[in-house]
Amino acid sequence: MIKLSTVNRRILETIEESEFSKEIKDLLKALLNVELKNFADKYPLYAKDYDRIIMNLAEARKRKEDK
Amino acid sequence: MELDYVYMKNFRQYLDTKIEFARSPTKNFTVIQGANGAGKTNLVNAITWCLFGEELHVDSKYKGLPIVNTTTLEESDEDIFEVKVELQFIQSEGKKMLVTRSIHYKEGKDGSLVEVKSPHSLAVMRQVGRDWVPPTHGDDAQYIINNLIPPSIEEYFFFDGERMDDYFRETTGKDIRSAVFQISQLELFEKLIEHLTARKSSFLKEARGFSQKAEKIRQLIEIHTRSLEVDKEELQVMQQKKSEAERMEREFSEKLKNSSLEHIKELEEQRYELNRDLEEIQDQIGDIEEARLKLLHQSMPVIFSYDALLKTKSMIDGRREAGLIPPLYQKIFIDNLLRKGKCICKSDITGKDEYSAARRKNVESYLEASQLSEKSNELIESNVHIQKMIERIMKFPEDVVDLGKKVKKILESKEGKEQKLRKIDKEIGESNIENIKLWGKEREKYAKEKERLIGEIAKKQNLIDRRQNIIRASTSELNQELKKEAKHSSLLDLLEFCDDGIKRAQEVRDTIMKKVKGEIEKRTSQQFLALIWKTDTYKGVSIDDNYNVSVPHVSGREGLGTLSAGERQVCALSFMAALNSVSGFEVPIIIDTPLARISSEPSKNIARKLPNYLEGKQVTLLVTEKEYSPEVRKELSGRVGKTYIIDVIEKERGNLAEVKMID
Repeated sequence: MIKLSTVNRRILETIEESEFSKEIKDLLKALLNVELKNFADKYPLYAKDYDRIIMNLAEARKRKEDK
Repeated sequence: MELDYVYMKNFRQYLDTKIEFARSPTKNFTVIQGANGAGKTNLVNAITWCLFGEELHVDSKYKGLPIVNTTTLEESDEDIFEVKVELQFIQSEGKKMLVTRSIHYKEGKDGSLVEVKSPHSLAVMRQVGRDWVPPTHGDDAQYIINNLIPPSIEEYFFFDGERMDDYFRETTGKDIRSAVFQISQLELFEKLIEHLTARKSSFLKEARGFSQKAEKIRQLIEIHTRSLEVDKEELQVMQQKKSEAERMEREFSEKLKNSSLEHIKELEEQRYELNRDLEEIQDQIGDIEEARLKLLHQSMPVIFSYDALLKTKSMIDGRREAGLIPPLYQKIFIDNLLRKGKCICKSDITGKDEYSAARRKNVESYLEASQLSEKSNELIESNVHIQKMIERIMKFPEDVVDLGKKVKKILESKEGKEQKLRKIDKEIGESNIENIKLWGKEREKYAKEKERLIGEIAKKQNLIDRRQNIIRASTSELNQELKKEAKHSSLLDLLEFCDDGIKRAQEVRDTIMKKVKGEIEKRTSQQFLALIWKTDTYKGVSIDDNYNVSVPHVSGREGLGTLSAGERQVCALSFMAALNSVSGFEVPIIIDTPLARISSEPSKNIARKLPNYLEGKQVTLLVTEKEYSPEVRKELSGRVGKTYIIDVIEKERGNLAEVKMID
């Protein structure tokens, strides 16, 4: 579940209105959410979250392409 | 999101105070009036301390002192003193959110104050439906607050008007860019790009089983990627320094232009014009150089083929003169004759007789010749092109000389203007007036520094471009190498996905940045022109590509350096209002002493127009009696929902503040 209510609506609108693939749109939104969470942390650790999101969505894209 | 109330207990001069804020859609301004030192700034500090644990602007007399009220310390019999600030917000759909920050002190053995640590010093309580959910504490509570009001942008919502007259003096292009980035949350995007790039590099670094060649390329990419980061940082510093040098050069030039000495004023005006001419000359030289390069690119291949072209032309001409090029017959015409069975002379060629057969044979021979004839047509057309190319070669030296003459003429004009400039510099430098001499020297120093940095920036940019090209080419080479082995296919998918993500993220960032910058510039300019009392003096406010703010005078001159303190405050106020309008954050605005540096008549104008620029925002103004004059009060009356006065109660151990609602 991607919670993005507080990311500036302009960013979300620009991503949504773009012609990017669904996986890229999901990637940008999910990573933004990680950054938003990091925003509140003093010493944020992002690598684990990033790897999980990238790998999941890269795999989803691959599956879609293979089909 | 609106602020419902603030409650302060033992916070600096506030002993036990609750202030409710105006929240009506039409009257959403709250005015809190108090003399200097009454506690206006500490009210803003109480709010930022409650939200972020830090005070925004601590007055020098409070610096280093604990935030606990000194009278409480003196008079209380309790062992533990509590300082507490409570903020209640009303979020969308009327749901309440309560933020409480507290700190406890006890007296130490040596009589000093010792903080009593508590894991529950920060609490956020939220209403879900009609019920309140149990409070969230510590980091989780801070996370909720930071999501609603990012701490990096708090200063654009809670700010001190009195300090704003120096905002654009102390603020560089980099700071403005950073403000635009922060307000539009593009910082998150920068981080996203940075982190996604780092993850991509890490996937590549951690992968095993590379061939020797692939390993070599990987190492090369790593070295250049690391160096690229350093180069980019250095470039940013240089650009920053260049902007600073430009700003200083402008500032000293403005000082000279505004000198009381007519002669110096004139010289500086001339300098300004000469510099503008020199910039134009530089552009013209650039255009000619470009034309010269284009001419070379177009002519070189033809020049190198000159001998071959001459030989071909002479061969074609020779054959034509000797009648060896077949005449032009259209194949379709001969085909038609044969189909109809007619000769060119209209006689029949279908008969069995000898004459008819001979005529038919003759017509058929034309068909063969027509195929050659089409080739001869192409040959003649080519000969025309060859002729044109030879003519171009013959004209080439003349064209080069013409361009050279143009450059020479422009350079002569340039030299003349530079001489005049040197003369002006000398004259200003030898002035009998110390200030003029100093300003002239300073301006020259910064002009030289700027020129030096322009050169350095160009070199660095070139290096960055080269590195980026190497990384791009090596990445492509590495991908090719990895594709040779099936075991790397997952890694390749991952790298490609990261690349795609980085590219798209950059696109989104650039689109938003351009849009936001344009919007902020437009709004700041409109607001500044509407609020400023000098009509027809300034063209507006512009923000250039390096985020340097300028206020061009109608004459075309830069006006930022000559704005009065009040005008500078209006400029900064307009910028803040513009940032707020485009931010997308529904955060209440609190402005401490918004009209401090502005005289009475302009204040009236600002009071009348400012609410329109903060439309829909809940605003709290902390003002002195002088700022909140009867005229300002009258202008704001339609928008003010609540008015308070802070009274000062003098006490031996420090003053107390008592807040009374008067309207």
